[in-house]
Amino acid sequence: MPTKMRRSLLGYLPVDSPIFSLHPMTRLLFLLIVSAYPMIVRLPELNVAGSIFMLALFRVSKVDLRVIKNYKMAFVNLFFVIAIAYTFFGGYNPDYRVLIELGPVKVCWENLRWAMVVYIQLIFAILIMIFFLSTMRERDIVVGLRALRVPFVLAYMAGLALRSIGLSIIDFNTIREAEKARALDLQALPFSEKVKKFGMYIVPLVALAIRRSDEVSNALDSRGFRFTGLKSGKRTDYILSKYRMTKLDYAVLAGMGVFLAGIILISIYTDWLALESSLLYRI
Amino acid sequence: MAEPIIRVEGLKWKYEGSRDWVLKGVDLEIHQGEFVGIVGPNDSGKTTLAMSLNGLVPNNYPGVMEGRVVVDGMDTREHSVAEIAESVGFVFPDPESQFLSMTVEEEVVFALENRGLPREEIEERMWWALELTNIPEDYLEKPPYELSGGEKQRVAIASVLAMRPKIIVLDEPTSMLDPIGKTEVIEVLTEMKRRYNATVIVIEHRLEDIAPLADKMVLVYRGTIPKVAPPREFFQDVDFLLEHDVFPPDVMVLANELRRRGLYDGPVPMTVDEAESIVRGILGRR
Amino acid sequence: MAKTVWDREPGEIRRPGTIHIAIMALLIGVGAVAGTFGSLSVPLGYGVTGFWPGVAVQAVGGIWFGMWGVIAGFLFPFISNSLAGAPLYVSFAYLPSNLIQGLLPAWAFRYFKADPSLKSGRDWILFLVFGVIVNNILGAAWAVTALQWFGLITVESVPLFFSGWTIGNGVPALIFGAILLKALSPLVVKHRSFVKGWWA
Repeated sequence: MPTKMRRSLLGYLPVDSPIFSLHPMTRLLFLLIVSAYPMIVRLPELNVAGSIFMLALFRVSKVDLRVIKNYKMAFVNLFFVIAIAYTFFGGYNPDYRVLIELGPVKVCWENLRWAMVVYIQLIFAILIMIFFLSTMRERDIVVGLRALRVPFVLAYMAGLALRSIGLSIIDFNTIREAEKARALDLQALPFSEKVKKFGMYIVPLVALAIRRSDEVSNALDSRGFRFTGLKSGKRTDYILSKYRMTKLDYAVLAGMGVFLAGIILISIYTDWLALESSLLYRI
Repeated sequence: MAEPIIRVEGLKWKYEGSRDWVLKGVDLEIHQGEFVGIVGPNDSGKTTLAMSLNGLVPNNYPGVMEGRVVVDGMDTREHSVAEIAESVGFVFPDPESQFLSMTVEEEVVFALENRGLPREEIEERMWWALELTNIPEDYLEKPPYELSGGEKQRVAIASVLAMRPKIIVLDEPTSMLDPIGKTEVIEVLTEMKRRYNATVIVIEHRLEDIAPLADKMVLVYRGTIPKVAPPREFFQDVDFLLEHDVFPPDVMVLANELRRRGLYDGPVPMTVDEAESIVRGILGRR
Repeated sequence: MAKTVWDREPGEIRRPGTIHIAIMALLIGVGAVAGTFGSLSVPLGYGVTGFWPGVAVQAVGGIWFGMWGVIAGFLFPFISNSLAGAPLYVSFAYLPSNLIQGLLPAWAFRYFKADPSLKSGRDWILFLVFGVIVNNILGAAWAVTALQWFGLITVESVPLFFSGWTIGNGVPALIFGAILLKALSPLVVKHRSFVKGWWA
């Protein structure tokens, strides 16, 4: 029997994924709290451990790992940008150990090491974001925001905005097909031509959005939606009431919070998380 | 006779920037519980008329309005669309353009949440609407925009039905659907007629499907209403309809042709079965 | 003084409504798609690109739809950067840049009563100054400062990222912003989503 899937922001997830046993608010807070870890901790060993932990979470949550492959080019591009920024624009200090000299440019070990630290840190941060996007649906984000007492109109706008990205992609593809039918294929053009012709895409894209705004507004009004600013009035939160926080949610939230507090305190009061503790700094 | 639930009096409407009136002094009365089919050629003003019934015209479109529309006691110039939505549900031609949520469940309960109904009542109405529109339970978590055309429109109708409005206006609900989708929606309309005693107003080109359901047919032509009548009377003068760019179902055209040739002088048939018995009758006489 | 598109008719009542919620959400969609196009074409890293058409949506969004356009321009890069794999807090750090890039042209067009259809040389100059040059310089200044605070770029690479952001935003803001304003302003100013003040 084929596995039933739920559509997430980045793909599909089996309905029996353990991640669905967590309340959407917990998953939303996961992004906010865990994303802070690599921002606080620079120690590469811990960030590597964090990345491995994230990969394990991908597996446990039954996320198709091909989703990470889609970011292959982003990882490669980031690597080159960081490497170039830190080697060619990394600055020079007479104490630095020069690895290669390319004319006036000195590629130093200290700069390269710093590039590695930043790159590893970012990989952990990016994996957190990919995990979040792979396991959340628009509905989960709306429910998560509503559970956090964000005014309905803001939560709803967030959902509508996410949905409108999908609509714009559909519109973009429709316009592209129409342009292709008239022998204009943007992808096949060199960059300078792409820039020139992109106007042919962006104008109809915005025009379609303006037309759609009438449709969405008509539909909202016709279903009795009253715009009352940030006050929700007498609105019932039926969808939110279908979700319950469980002991598991509280345990996960407590765990994430304690860990965050722990690394903040450790980084303030000890030098255990200092870069000097890293193997890279003993080379 | 009871007070009509919809009263359109001398309605004239012109969109901002347009020189011509789209509606040129329309009068129409519709009573509680009537199933009304509105027909007419493209650009005759049907959609503008439909939108004037739930207040989208004049509230959401800039333009010039004369005359008035009173729906369930509300003058559409004095009430917002959201207020009128308490009484009037509206189904748009393109199901995708009316989806406001990311799952079928959210879509169906959206209007009920807006009204602040108790959770239990929302649940009860949702199941009722889903059952009436034949939407299975396992669709609840699906994104509505991933369904087939017919399913999308059924979800859209369920979302409106859940509001249990006194009046439901469906603006060409099958125009963007494939033949299977069209049939699915017509089946839902048939169920609505059978089980839900609301006032239903359908703008529809598939006359063969609407005629048997309708209590009253309205012809809109170049911004006017030249004919309002019960279906059998409405389709009696096929030539009049053809002159107004309305193409009656084949069975009616056949009966008209038989009348023209002096072979038949009874009322026009509404269904294939009725046409069959007419033809059998003629053949039997020979 | 001649009547401008920003002046209200006598007795004209303008209120924020569902049309503004809708246009804001849809602008986020368009901006994200336009932004992604740029991110994929000349990436410089951390969401900074050598060519980012999203900025045109920020500028014209603010001009046409007031705060609704500004908020859309503030939020869509956050979403598109996240989808492109930017870490959460880097996306957060860019928010002030995204705010200023939409807010400044929105303010300038209203304050100086410039015509969004760019009918006169004055309109063009105001667009160039506030919708192409100053807004993007301020946006770039904040963005590279934030990146440097995070330790993601070195002091020495600040000019590279600053010029990348300024040029990468300035050129598409000029080309696509002008195309959009010229092509669609005559329609938009008649549409009910057009915002004469800040919210309606």
